[in-house]
Amino acid sequence: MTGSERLLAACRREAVDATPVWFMRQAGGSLPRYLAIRERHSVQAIARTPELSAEVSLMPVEEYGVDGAVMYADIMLPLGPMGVDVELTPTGPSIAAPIRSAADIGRLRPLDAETDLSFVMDAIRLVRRGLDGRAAVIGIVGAPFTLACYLIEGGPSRDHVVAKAFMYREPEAWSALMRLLTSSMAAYAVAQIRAGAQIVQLFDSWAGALGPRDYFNRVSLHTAQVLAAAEAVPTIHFVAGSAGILELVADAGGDVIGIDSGQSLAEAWGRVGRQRAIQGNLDPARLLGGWPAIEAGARAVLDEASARAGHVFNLGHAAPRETDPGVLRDLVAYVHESTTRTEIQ
Amino acid sequence: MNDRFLRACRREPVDATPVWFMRQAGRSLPEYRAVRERVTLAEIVGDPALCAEVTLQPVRRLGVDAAILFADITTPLAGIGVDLQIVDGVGPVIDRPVRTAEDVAALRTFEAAEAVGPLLEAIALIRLEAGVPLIGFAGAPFTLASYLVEGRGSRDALAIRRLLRDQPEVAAELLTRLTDMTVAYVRAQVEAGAQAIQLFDSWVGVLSPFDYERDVLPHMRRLFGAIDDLGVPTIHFGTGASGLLRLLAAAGGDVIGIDWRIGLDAAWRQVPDRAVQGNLDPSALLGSWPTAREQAVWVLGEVAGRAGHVFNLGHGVLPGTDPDHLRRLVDLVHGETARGPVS
Repeated sequence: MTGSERLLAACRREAVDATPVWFMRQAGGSLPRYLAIRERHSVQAIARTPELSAEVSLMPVEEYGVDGAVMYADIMLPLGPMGVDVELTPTGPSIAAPIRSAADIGRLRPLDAETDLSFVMDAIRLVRRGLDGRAAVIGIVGAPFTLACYLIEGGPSRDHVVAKAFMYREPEAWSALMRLLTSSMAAYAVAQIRAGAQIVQLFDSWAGALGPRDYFNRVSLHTAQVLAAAEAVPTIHFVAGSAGILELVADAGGDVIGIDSGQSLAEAWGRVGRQRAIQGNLDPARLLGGWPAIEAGARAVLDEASARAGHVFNLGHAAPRETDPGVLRDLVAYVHESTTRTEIQ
Repeated sequence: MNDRFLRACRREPVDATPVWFMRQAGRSLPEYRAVRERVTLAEIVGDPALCAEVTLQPVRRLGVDAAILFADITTPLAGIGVDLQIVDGVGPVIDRPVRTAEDVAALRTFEAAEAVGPLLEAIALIRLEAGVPLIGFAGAPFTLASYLVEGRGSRDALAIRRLLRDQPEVAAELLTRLTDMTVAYVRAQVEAGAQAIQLFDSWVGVLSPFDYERDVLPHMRRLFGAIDDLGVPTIHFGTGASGLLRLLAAAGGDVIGIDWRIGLDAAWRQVPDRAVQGNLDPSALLGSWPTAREQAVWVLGEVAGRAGHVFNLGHGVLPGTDPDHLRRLVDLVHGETARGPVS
C-alpha cells in the first residue's frame, strides 16, 4: 500500500498493511532543511508563499516517511482576512485588538476562502502533485470554539476564563461569533477539499476547558456543522483534553476521533464506539527523552490499539518544536515495522 | 458543630449537601483584599491571628460548611531548605531550581514545628471560632516537584517530566523526599486540629495514565497510607485529571475531587466506592446569577441524590467572582438538597 492508501484506509477502518502514522505539527520543527528556510523567511512569509509552504509540508514525508502530509498552515490564517490583526509569535498567536463586544463581532467579515486564502489552496495543489500518492494531503481547520477563545483572549491562555466569561455574559454575541466562525471554517474546509485535501483535521485545542453541559449547549452544534461540510473526505476530529467530554465530541462528528495523551486509548475507543476510527496518542513529552522511553510509550499505544482496524498512530498533541528529527524518523519506522500485517501484502 | 461536611466525606446521611469553595479565602472577598493592602501572603501565613482571620472570613460571609486553612501549597518548602518567593501575578518563584542529585541530597528533613509553627498555631485559633470543620491541605508531591524543578508554575510541567525520563533515580528521590515532607506536614496539621485533609495535585493532568501509574501513583499511595491512621477524611483533587480518575482513586482518598471538565455522574461512575467533591465551573460565576444558578442545579442533578457529595467548584474561586454569587450558591445548594434533620 502507498502511504496515502494506508492512511485513507485506516480512516475508513478498512484493512491496512501497517498502521499509518503522522504527527501533529510535523511540518516545521527542527528539520535542518526547514531551519534553513526559516533563516531567510518568516513563518508568515512561508505560510503565504505556496512554493515554500508546499516544500515545508512535504518535508516530513521525505524525511520521516509519514503517511500523511499535513499542511503547514496555522489555524489562525483565516482570521486575518476576516478582519483580525493577528501576529504569530514564538509563544503563540497574538491579537492586537481582542473581541470584547457585539460591536467588535459586527466588524468581522465572513471568509471568502478561495480568494482570501488562495495561497493555501495553491500550496495544497502543489503538495498533492508533489506527493504523488506517497502520503495523503491533510488539510487543517481550527474549530470555532478554539478560534473564538483566541479572538476574545487575544492569545493563548490556560483556562480561557475571559472567553468563557464572555460566553456566559453575552450569549447572543457569543452565538453570533460562533456562527460566523462556523460558516467561514466550513467554507475553508470545502475549499481545501476542492484544492486536493484528501483528509480534513478539525483542531479544537481548547474545548477541553469546557464541562460537558457547556460543550453540548454552546459548542458542539457549531463543530458538527464544520465537520458535516467536509464530509466529502474522511474527517479527523481532535479535541485536546477531551477525557471528560469524549462521547459528546464523537457525537459532534468525525470519521476519526483524535485522542490526547491524558487518557487511555483503549478506553477512549470503547467510549467513542468501534464504528469510529481513532487517532493517537503518544505523549509528545516522550519525544524529548531517549529512544527506550519513546519505544516503551509507542509500544503501549500500539498494545492499546491491539491491531484493530482503524487506528492512526499520532501523538496526543503537537510535537514539541525542539524534537530531534531522527527520533521522528525512527518512530515512523518502528510503528510501520511492528504493525506489518503480512496477509495483506 | 455543623458536621455535615465530615458526614458527607464518610458517605453518611446529611441534612443538606455541604458546600465549601476552593480558594474561598482570598481575592474575591473585599475583607481579604483589605488585609492584603497591608501585608503580603507570606506575612499572613506567618502570623497565627491574621491567618486565622483570613481563614474564617469566608465562613462568616458565605456560610460555607467547612473552613480551609489559608496557606500556599509551596508554604512548607522553606522547611526543607528551598528559597522561594511568591511574586504577585506570577506565583511561586524559586531562584535556584532543584535539578541534580546534589540539589535533591541538599534538601533538609522537614520539622513541622520549626518550619510552619505559626500555621499550626493558627489551626488552634481557627478551631476555637470556626463552628465548622477545618480542612488542612497540602500540595501533592508531583505538583511540588514540578515547581521545584521548573522554578515556577508551568502549563505543561515539562521540566519535571524530562527529569523523570532522563534521570529517573533523581526524580524518584525528589518525589520520595517531598512525600516524606508532605506526610510530616499533614500529620502536624491534623495533630494541631485539622479535621480533614485535601491534597492538591494541580499539575497531574499533564501526565498520561501510563506515566502517572508508573512514576507518581506509588508515591501517592505511600502518602495516603502514611496518614491513614490519623482517622480524618482525605480529599484527593487533581486538575485536568478526567482521564486519570480511577488511578487517582487507586492511589487513595476518601473523597475524590473532580474538576469541571467532566460530568459528576460520569466521574462518579469511575470511582463508585468514594465520596465525590465538585464540580461547578468557576467561570460560570462570572456571568449573571441565573447563569450560575442554572449550572449549579445541573451539577446537583448529576449527583442524583447519591450520598457522599461535597459541593464545591471544579477549581479555585476566580479573582473577579462576586462574593454575593458565592453566598447565594451556598443557600441554593442547602435549599435544593435539604432533607430534614438526620439522627
